[in-house]
Order: sequence, then C-alpha cells, then structure tokens
Amino acid sequence: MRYCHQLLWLLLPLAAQAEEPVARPRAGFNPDISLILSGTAAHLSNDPDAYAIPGFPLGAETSPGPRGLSLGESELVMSANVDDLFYGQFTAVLSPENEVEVEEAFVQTLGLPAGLMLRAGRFFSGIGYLNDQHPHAWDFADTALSHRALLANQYGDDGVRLSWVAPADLFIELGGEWLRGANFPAGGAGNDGQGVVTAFARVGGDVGVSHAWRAGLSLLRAQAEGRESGAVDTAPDAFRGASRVAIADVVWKWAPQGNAKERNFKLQAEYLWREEHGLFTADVNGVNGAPVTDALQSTQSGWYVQGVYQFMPQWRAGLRYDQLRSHDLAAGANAALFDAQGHVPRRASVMLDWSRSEFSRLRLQVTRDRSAPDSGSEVFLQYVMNLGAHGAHAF
Amino acid sequence: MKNRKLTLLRQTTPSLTLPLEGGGKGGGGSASGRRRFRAARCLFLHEGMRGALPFVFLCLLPFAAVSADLRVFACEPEWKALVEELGGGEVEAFSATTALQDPHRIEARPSLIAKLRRADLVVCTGAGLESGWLPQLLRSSGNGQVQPGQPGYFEAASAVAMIEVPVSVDRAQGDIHPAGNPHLHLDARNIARGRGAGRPIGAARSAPRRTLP
Repeated sequence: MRYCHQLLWLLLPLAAQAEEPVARPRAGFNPDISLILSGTAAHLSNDPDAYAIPGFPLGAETSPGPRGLSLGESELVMSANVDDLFYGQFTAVLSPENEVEVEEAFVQTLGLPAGLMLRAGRFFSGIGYLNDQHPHAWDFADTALSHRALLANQYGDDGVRLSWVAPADLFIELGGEWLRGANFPAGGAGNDGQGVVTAFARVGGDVGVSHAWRAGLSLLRAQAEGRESGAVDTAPDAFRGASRVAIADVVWKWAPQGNAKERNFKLQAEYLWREEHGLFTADVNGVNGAPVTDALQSTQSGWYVQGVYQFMPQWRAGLRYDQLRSHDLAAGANAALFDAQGHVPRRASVMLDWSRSEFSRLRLQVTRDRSAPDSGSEVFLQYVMNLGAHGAHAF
Repeated sequence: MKNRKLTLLRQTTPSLTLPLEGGGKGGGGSASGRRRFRAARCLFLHEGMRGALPFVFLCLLPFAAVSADLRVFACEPEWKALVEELGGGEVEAFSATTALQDPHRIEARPSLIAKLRRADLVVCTGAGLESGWLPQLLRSSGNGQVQPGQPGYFEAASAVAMIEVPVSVDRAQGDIHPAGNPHLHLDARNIARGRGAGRPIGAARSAPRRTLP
C-alpha cells in the first residue's frame, strides 16, 4: 500500500526533488463512539406510579421516574462521516429494564448544493428547541412540563427532513419533515405510515461578541391512529384523530467576551400550543368495564422558562418554571378524563451541577411539583457521564 | 513576488511559521485523501519544508473561487491574519474566535453557521483543537464546498509534523489531544525564530499556553 503512494508521488512532475510528505498522525478512521452513563437517587413525596396531570392524558414513560436509587438510561452513540457526501449517527438506549431501543439512526447529506441538507432515518424532530436534545444534554434532570404533557417528553420518529440555510449574515434556517407518525403526539403510523408533517423556521445571530441568540417557530400536524395514553401499561385510553402543535422558542446565551469556559448564562423559553380533534376511547381494552368512545375537541398549551448560570468554572446553577393550561374542551362522555379540576399544573425547579470536565456532571435538583392539586416535592441527585468520543452539541 | 510575501509574512505574523522541524518527517503516504494529496503536491513546489504552509494556502486559494472576493472562514485570528496577508484585497476573511476566547470551548453559534454557509474556504488548525464545535457547524451549514475532504477545507495540522503525540490516551490525564499538540499557532519557538532575536515579549507571553495539554 505504501509503495502505491510513493509511486503516485513519483508521477508528479516535480516529485524528483521532493522530500517525503510530512507525517500526519491520524486520529483514526473509526467512528466516534461514546457511552453515556447516568443514574439517579430520587426522593419523591408523591407516588410516581400514580402520577397524573388532571386534564392532560399522558403518553408512555412520562412519570418522574422511580423512587430511590435507580440506574438511568445508558446511551450508546456512534457517529462519523460515511464518506465525503454523507454523515451517519446512531444512538441506542439501554433501559434499566434491560431493553434496547434505537433512539436515533440517521444519515444526512453533506454535499447538496444551495445550502440544502437532507436527513433520513429515525431522529428527534427539529421542532422547537428542547425537543431534539438527548436527555444527557438537558440542563435539568427531567424535561419541561409542556414537553412532558404535550409531546410525551420528546417527539422522534422515522422519516426524512429537508432543511435549508439561507446565504445571509443573519442565520436563517427553514426546514420540513415528513415522518411515519408512530409516536406521541401521533400514533399507529396513520395515513399509510406518513402520519406527521412538520415545518420549522429559525433565525439567530450575535449581539456584540458576548451575546448570541436563536428564535424559532415550528408547526406539526399529526394523524393519530389509536394513540395510547393514560394507564398505558394496564388500561390504556386511545385517541384517533388529528393533532396540531405549534411551538415558539427562543434561547439567548451570554458569555463574557464569548469565552464560555469561565462564566456563561443561558436563558431559554418555549411556548407550546396543541389542538386535537377526533374520537377518544376511554379504557380501549375494556379492562375496567366497557370502553367509552366519544368525540374529543381540545385546545391546550404549555410553556417554560429557564435560566442556567455558570458562575465559576465547573459550577452551574439553574432555575426553571413550567406550566400547562387547558383552553377549550369538548369531550362528551369522557369529560371527566379531561377535567383540569380548576387547577393550573405548574412546577418550579432549582438545580446545581458540577462538571469536573466536559464529560462528567453531577446534579442536584429540587422541584416543587404542582402538576396535580395535591402538590409534592421532588429531589434528584444525578450523575451523567460520557466516556469515549462524543460529537459536539448544537447551540 | 512569492519571496516578498513570505518575507512580509515573517515580519508581520511570525507566529505562523510552524513547527515543521518537529521531527517525524518520515512515514508519510499512509492515508492520502484528496486534500492531503493536493496539499503535499503544493509542498513539493517549494524547495524546502520550512515555511511551506503559506504555499499550501497559495495553492488552495485558487481552488475555491475565481473572480469575486474569496470568503474565508478562519477558526483562529492567526489564520485570518495569514490569509489576509496572502490574499490581500481579494480575500474577505472572518475569524470564528477572538484572541480572548478559548478555541477549545466555543459554542456552535447560529452566527457561525451563517458565516460558514457562505464561506469558500475554511482554514483551521485541526488536530482536535476545534473538535468541540467545528464539526457541528460544518454539518449544520449546508455548505458542501468546505466539508472535510473537499478543496475548500484546510487544516494546518495536515501540513505539519505534529509534536507531542501521546503514546497512550486516557482522559484521567485531562482532556488531551490524541493527534498531538494542536497549538501550532502559539509555538513560542517559532515566534522567536520568525522574529529573529527581536521581540521576546511575544514569545514569553505565549510560552505558558504552549504547555497546555
């Protein structure tokens, strides 16, 4: 092999006087492989198995997690450029219940003309800001109430995404996705496995050298076929119909002189609005009696605002407030399931974390949880650690 | 003309004379991507290896654009200065970082994606110095001209012999650079060499950073 290269050098017109090319150590031809380990000690004053938000039937895996000591999800991530035109990334999640789930597996183009990018496979939708962040990148131990209730934490699915970056000094990105519709807020891969379309627009830029911002608007339209909610494992309810979600998001970051290593501050906020109409069936399997089906028309919203301040190297403190609201509702015979009981679900969380390096993080979070009228407190002590080569995170 | 520019370069931006004498010149020709091949060919046009880097730029510049101003996305201000020195008024160079920022720890900001989207040429240090943000920017930019492997993508580390390549890699030693010391643009010895006996202040100021992992 080496002789072949030397022959190539000789073929060059001026190669006779050439020295050997400079040695260049290779970082390796292998993909970046990283493993993320996490674990939590949780004190939850309310029983997490009975967790519910009045008026908001929840999708699967939306409880605050188990009490006491528990292993979190372990994420295995591999990513690399496939060749000069494609990039690929794979993320598997190994659950503490010893199940493996393909969380993301996609390829993306690198060489399309005119600022276009095409992505295909399974991935988190690009709607909003928080939705496509992996849990290990969250600034809090759990996601915001708006995302928990309206998107079942985060929406990912199989499909394609086309996005375009404008050739301008202001960052402008437009994108759209065409997805299978197998997951909440869709379900059952409706419309022949093309159940969801999304569109998003983002703008962003710098203000001086110390400030950066990004803002976005996103829309999602889902066709749900038998989307399960409520007591998903034992006696699920099912929804069949259309779900529309709109998200406005803004994030602003500050770092003195743009040097985030010492101190920095991040402020982010999102507003989610969801409108659904279709048929809702309570206890679709008839576990606790005959199923009850009636028309459903609901409009709900949620928002959060959070700030995270790195006040000295390695140490960050954060504050978050999140809230849900029910607007119009017509659920007929199932009205009791959507009755918010005059309650506005809301939480306030404070967190402190310490990162020895970019690869380790220990976090303490205290949450005053008023998701339900019976308020409770939650305390999480958590570790999130990354071993191996992990790709850079987005803004 | 070339000699004049090189002389000018040594006078004005001496830190850009790179540690090309850092040993380990042999053993080349293993992984020869297209870019590397081209860069190496450019090197041969020069009679020696020292000061070869400016020639790499000279060879790369025509690949990216012909008529209008060449838009260059430089990762560090040193590369921006070098590109402006070489390209004169025909280059519109932008530095992604300032001298007050730590190039290891930069956010993949939207403004940088916008700059990269319109860049004709990327000039960065490589060897892992920008691995915390540049790959993310490149993937988000939608700019096929400046992806790794394309003529519009240049890493200085690809044209020099790396020094301090670790024998073993363990993060318990800190966040080390497996490809060797990437702080090419901060090499105090090269600053001293480029400036002759003059201005040791610059070298002294850079020296502590030289010892970063």
